[in-house]
Amino acid sequence: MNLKSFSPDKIAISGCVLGLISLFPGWFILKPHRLSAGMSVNLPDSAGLALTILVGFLWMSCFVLSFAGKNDLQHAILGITADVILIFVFIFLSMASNNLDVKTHVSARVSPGAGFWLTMLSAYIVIFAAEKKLEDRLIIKNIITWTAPAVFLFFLFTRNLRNFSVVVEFAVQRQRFIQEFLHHIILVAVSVFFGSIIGILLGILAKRSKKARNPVFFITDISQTIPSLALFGLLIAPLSVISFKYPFLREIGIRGIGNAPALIALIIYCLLPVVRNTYSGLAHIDKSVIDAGKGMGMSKMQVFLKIEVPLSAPLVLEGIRISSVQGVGLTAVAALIGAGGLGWFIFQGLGQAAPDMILLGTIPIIILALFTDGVMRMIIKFTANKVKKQKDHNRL
Amino acid sequence: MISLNKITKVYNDKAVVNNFSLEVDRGEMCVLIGPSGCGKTTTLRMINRMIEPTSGEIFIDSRDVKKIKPDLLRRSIGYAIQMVGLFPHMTVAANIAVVPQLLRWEKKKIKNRIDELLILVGLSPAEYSSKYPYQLSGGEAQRIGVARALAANPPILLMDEPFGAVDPLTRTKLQTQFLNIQKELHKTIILITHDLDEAIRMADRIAIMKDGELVQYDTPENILSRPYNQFVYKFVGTDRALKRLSRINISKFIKSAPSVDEDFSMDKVNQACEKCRWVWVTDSKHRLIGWIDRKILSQTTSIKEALVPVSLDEIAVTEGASLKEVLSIMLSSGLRTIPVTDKKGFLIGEIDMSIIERISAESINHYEKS
Amino acid sequence: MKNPKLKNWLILIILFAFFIVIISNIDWWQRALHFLFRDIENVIYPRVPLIAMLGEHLKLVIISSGLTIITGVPLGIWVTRSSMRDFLDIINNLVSIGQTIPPVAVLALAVPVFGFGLIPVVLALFLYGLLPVVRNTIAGIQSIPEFVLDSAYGLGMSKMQALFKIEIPLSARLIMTGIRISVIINIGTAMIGAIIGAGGLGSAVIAGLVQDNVAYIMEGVVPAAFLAILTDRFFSNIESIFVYNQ
Ligand SMILES: Nc1ncnc2c1ncn2[C@@H]1O[C@H](COP(=O)(O)OP(=O)(O)OP(=O)(O)O)[C@@H](O)[C@H]1O
Ligand SMILES: [Mg+2]
Repeated sequence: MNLKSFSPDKIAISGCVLGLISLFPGWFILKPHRLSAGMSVNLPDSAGLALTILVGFLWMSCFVLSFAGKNDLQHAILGITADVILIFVFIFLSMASNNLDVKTHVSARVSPGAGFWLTMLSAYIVIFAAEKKLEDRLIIKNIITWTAPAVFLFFLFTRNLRNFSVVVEFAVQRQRFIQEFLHHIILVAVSVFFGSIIGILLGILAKRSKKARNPVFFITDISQTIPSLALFGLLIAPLSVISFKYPFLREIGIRGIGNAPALIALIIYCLLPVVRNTYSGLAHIDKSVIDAGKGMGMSKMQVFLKIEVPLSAPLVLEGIRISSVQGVGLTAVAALIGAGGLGWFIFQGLGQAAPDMILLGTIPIIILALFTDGVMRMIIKFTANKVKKQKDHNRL
Repeated sequence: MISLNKITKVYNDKAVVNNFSLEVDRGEMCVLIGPSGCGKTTTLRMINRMIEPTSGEIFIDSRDVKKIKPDLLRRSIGYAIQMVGLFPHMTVAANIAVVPQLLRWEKKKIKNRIDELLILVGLSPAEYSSKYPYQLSGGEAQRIGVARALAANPPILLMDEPFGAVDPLTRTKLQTQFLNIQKELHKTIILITHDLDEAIRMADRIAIMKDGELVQYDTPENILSRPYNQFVYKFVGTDRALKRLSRINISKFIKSAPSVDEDFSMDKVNQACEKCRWVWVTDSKHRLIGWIDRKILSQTTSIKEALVPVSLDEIAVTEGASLKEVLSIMLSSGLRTIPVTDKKGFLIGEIDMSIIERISAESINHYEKS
Repeated sequence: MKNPKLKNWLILIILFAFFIVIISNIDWWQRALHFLFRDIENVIYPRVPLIAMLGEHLKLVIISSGLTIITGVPLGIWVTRSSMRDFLDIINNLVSIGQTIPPVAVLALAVPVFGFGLIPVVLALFLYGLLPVVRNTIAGIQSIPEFVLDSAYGLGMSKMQALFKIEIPLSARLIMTGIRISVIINIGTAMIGAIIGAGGLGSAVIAGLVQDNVAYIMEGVVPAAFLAILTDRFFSNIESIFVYNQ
């Protein structure tokens, strides 16, 4: 073999080493009920020595594959092996949760420990390294990315993970969870919707009028700086004063605490990214493009709709992406002022010192944030491509 | 002084510099030229060990550069990179002071050196010392880049397209200025350029590169008159005869010119005109003011009447001019013989078109290796 | 060029003095809050005096942000060294995933892992605060044009000299932006930390929410908003020191 093509992939190698190490610390924590401290179990004790050695062997093969050269097949096998390891991890989780002695403890549960999380991280590192090498092989890359999440969902829906701590907690609070989950999404959607509309209008205003620019940026800047809890709190006082003065407001649900201050604060938080990006989206349009439009006889409105809107769209959407991702997290805080949403589980869990309940709020929030981010990025990519095509077309 | 011995640099199995040898003598300016991507920058950067050669040796004053610590080596070699690369967070003065500070000069000495260098590159220290790079024009930035390379008075300068990013007019000015500096300082210089005119103007020797190899290394005159192969022949271009004239100074070809003083009597003038068709006329301080044609003289009674006045810029050349400038004045004025004056307008002699014809005939119209 | 900068510092100093005066005169608060909320008997949170809450809050933020800065900046610099180039992509990827996760979630996750009290909150703030600092340090160093570094080495600077004389000064502005973002997030998240038992200005807010006492909420919220704005201005002013073009 030529020495040149013998180039070890440092990232993948460190992932494999970490993966091997992660076989040793405790993998699962078994708890008879929600508030007990639990007992840590090692992988060989939980899944048996044979399977542990098998996973170790898989890590070793990844390690060897990391030394592969410029061969795409080898990179693909590396990624798929990491997927197989992840599938084993889920199998172990379901084995551990099925082995629990459910008869004696009705709400017995298993939660993942350090070894489990480290293995997940190692697999992520190896998959990242493999996909980086695969460059533009989109199909195989997507297969490698989505296999593990799909298998996880499969295990989840086939009730194989029914004793997984968060699932147990979910089962107990099913009704409430669905309600708060939807509520969370509605709060985010409504605030991002109105925030984006106001933000875009303010952005256009800032671009059009020099006088308005500084005040608009000053106010949106400051409101972004104020801590979320502080902004929620600041709105409580005036709203409660007003609602006491005009009782009909209370009847339609506007009070010091609850949805009203939450939505107002969330909308205010939404503004800055949208305003900034709308402004710079408009400001960065090439003057000559607009002149060309005017030259072809477009009216002001036509120039705006046919040139400025499509050209600034990707940046504006980027602003909305930042706002939405941020909104998912801020809405969690809104639960503190009685607005509900997934934050409710977090703060209830904190109040009752029930870690699984905290996780029942936190994990969906994280997934929701990542999901929103991913979807928005896809939309932005799509519009950016379209704008680019249009530009190329115009140039021809 | 600098000697490259069979240098090769391989990137991804491809030799971008191949078996390259070059000797540059002390105080000489060697200009590296060649098509884009032929390995000029790579060659230059191996000299100060920004890049390590795959094989071969480089000596500076017969010392193998491999034996000198890179940082120390670089501090003893001035280097002006292709993109200038002034540090944006430092003033002009601080930029120039970088190497002296690395060498731990005294503060006072550094300060004096900065002023000295700014004056040398033609910028006023009072005005420019405290400016930041973003406040400079492209030409000013390049001059500061050169000043920075010169800061610690290194005997060797490596310059990668030092006048690349400026308009042609500024570039000519910078070249002239740099040539004057070099006349004073006598550095050993390797300079890279894309511009053949620049190479011909500045170089003591030109090294022409192609695909990582040295094609011809010779004086500009020889490159122009005896291109080694078709590549050089084409590279130099069809106007190489003209280019060659631009390298040749007129001083060797000046003949003494017949002249009369405007206060001379008619007799004296007639006498002077007997031997030739015309004479130059000077004022009392021997400054050229015009000429007198023999035919016209015979029809007039005074010198004043016969005198054809001239404007010096239009028909005269100064001592330092090249044959190319002479030719261009001859063509535009329609004269076959033009006067040569010094800077103040004193007549020194004259120069004739036959010289140019003779020299052009010398340049061989084929290349050595066919 | 100097005047607007001077003005900014002046404004900051005046705001700061104003803040100190307000914070230290608790009877003003009492009178103002009484005037605003006539129905409420106790307008001042009785458990901890305002100054002490502010002190706790500052302690929390200074410790966690201090840890963030002294580890985040070197970490960002370290991963941009040529020996670490292979790892840069994955670190950028991890940081950007991390930044998508809301700060509350990180705070909430600290409890199952580390339990209640000051330490989990400090750790959560420290870890989450690392993300913008590391990200901006990397971005700052990568924003330096290659030819600038090239001329630094070409003039004979050693790697260390180039780092301290060229790379760090030139990326200082972006690093400061990262620090500012990180500290502002920490001030905000620390308020929620009161629930986990870390004290600070959040304590009054939580008590106010639980006891339905708007005056308590105001006592926590107004100084917190002020603190955040002052801190933001302070770091913005420092950032503008490091602007080298224009
Ligand atoms: N680090 C590198 N890795 C791989 N190839 C390189 C590297 N640096 C330069 N090359 C290649 O080596 C060749 C010579 O590059 P070099 O920069 O020396 O050219 P040059 O003659 O200076 O060109 P120019 O006139 O455009 O500046 C080019 O083909 C370039 O692509
Ligand atoms: Mg080059």
